[in-house]
Amino acid sequence: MTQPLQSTEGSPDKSPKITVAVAGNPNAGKSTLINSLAGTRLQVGNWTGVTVEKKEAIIDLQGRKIHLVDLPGTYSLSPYTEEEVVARDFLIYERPDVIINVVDSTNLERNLQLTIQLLELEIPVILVLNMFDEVESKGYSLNIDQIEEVLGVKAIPTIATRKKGIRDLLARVHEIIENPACFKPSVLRYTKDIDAAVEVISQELKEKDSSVLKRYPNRWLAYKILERDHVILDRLQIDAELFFAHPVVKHLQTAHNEDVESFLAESRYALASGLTKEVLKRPLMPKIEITETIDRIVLNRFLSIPLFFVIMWLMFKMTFDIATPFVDWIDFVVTGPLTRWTTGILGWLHASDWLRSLLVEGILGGVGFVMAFVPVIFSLMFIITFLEGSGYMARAAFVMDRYMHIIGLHGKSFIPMIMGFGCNVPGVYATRTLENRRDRILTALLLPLMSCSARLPVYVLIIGAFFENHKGTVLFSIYMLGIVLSILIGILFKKTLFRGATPVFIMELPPYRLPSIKSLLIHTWEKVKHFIIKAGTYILAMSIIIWFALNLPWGVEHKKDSFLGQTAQIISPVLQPLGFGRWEITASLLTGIVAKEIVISTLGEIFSVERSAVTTGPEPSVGEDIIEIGVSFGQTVKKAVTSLFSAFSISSISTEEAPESLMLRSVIQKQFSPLSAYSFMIFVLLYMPCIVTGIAMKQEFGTWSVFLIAVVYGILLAWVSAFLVYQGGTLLGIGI
Amino acid sequence: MVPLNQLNEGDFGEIVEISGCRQRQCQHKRGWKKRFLSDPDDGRNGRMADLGLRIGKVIQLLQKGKQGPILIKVDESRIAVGQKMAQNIFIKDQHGSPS
Repeated sequence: MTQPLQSTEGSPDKSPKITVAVAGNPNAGKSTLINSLAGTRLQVGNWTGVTVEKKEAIIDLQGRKIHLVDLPGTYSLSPYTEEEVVARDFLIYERPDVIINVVDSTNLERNLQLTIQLLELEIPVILVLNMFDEVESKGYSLNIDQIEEVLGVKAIPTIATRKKGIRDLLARVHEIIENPACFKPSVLRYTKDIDAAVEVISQELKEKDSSVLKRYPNRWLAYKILERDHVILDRLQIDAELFFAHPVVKHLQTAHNEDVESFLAESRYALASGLTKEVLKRPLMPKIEITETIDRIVLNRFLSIPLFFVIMWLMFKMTFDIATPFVDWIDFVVTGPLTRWTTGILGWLHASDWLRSLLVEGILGGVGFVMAFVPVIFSLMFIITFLEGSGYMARAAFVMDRYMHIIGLHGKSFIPMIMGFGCNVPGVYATRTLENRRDRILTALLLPLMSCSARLPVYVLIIGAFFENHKGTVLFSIYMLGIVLSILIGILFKKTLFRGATPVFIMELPPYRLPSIKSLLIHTWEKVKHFIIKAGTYILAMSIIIWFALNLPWGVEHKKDSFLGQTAQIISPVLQPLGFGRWEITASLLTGIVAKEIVISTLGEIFSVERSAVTTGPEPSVGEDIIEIGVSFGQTVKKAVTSLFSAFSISSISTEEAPESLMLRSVIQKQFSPLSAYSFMIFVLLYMPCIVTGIAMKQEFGTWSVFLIAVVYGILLAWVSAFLVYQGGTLLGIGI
Repeated sequence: MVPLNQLNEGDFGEIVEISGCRQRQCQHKRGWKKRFLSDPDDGRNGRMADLGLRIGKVIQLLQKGKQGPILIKVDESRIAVGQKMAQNIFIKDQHGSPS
């Protein structure tokens, strides 16, 4: 808990940590406001104890260090989603020194409901009337003085997108920090019987000598007691029933049929509603909003579904068009100059052969290969973030709702699933926005069937080796198989493990807005970083382990006799009926458990695809290399831009493979038949979510059982599907 | 008085009744399923109220199909409500007029 403000007097250096929390409804412009307050200093870290991320920035305000905390959007302090629990817990248990309450001025009544709850906490609140330009453009008139008078707080009109009002806001934050006494909120009065009961309970609490209770305002505790808020009361070890013995409190309970919670909530709503009626004047003839006009087309009964598919198709097309040149570029830098430089340095240091092999083949090969897929994930997540920020993603959830019901979920679950195509890990985290734990778990369980971009390198290699003439169709069939199976598995889960509970859909469709590039980049980075962390940690560690597993026992001559080879040989008979019973393939699948990208790098490692063998002519100097990196980057950008605006086709995915890849392709052609290769792709698609997804599931749901279920059904589904395809194909004589 | 899903597109109506549970204690799961699937909170009507769907509110039905959710306007917000939930919200139909 932060120190009380009273003790902050003295030199700024000795002053305790000042925390300013930014809270508000979703879509009130909180993120934009905090971006204009903190600029690039916004850091995303993890909350202690829970996994939901908090965004924090330290800003300097006239010599004082201020910790600015961006809380997840919440409609009230009675949380329904994991994100809202985080916001509630921070405000209540951490008690920041100041709360900046960001309010969408055009939607005052609903936003003020939260403001009233924040004021009950008796923490200094600054009311930020954001999007004030929209109030004016809608022809509304808002009496700010009256709001300030009734609530007893300072209200500051802002337009966060244009940084208007930010200076006033910072001045007010400074004022409150320097002189907390200047914050004189009104004591909120609801109804006579509530106020009487609150008085009685506060008095009784005052008489209790408890250090825990002294940290919280008595009136607020009284509200929680009246609401019988067990989450908070249990934590603070308060027995609400003791207070209900008092005649005044008992009367309140009897008068409202035992449901004081609802009555209190209604009283808060009534206050928000009454205040809005007083201060906000609307024009008699409201203007037709642009959002409504767009919605008439986007949500139209006949147009919505075709439009949805066009947008999804564009999303994938743009992802690959933008990303493919960059994938090739990173691949070139890693396999070319970086490998040459590392080999050069190691040669200069007289490093032993095994160390050279570990660093170049093991680490650089493994991690570098995975990093090459960052552009794909970045592009996809950038477009998803744009769709979210613009307001379309909520419409997609609306449109997909009726279809999602087939698999026992509702429309909101669709958003994490789309994200899963980029990387399953942020998809798992995105389930936080769902209200219901059942929906969250079921969504997370189906997520691994969405083919993430980590699986793409495997498909690209196999398709390049066997299905050169039907690239697009084969790739599309794999993605579709994942989607079809997710529907079947969803129905199965709905009828077994998740039987009975019915999903409930209620969701706000925010107004359409054009998100700024800056906010898009910040939010994209939040999603992409999971993948980069994965490459930097798990995949790095795994690359080292795989190298050792392939080279131990020490001095092993044939990779077949290495630890990995021996383990793979034990398992490989199980995969024989699927068409790929060779130990090398089994070994690659074993290592792919950590991350599916590794499947290819392991195959490369086992079949010893020599990097040096592909180099022809004299090696370029470091200077030439640097120039080449720069020149090729310029060409890459040009290529990305032209392909984005050129012919509409997705077939451009990694058609230009690195020479190393071409060598691996020829090796692969000897290992598989087209049929067994297709069966192998199906197996890679389904066999289990990667370990990093598993860790994300454990963090989100507090138990390994979700991951365990995903692993068990994944392996079974993969084996059965690959078996049916391979044996069926063999019987029919297709692609043998 | 009609359930929300029986209103026509463009119609206004006043919410007169919301059936279901407001209390957060509304949980029916038992045993391991409760541990595995239970929520910190499950008061769906509380969520509706937070979003502005309360008794006495005048809403406008913006969009509805044969299946799928219903889009309504409450105050300044557009709220999508699932079919099942819409059956629990009862409306006094005011047809084309907001008042």
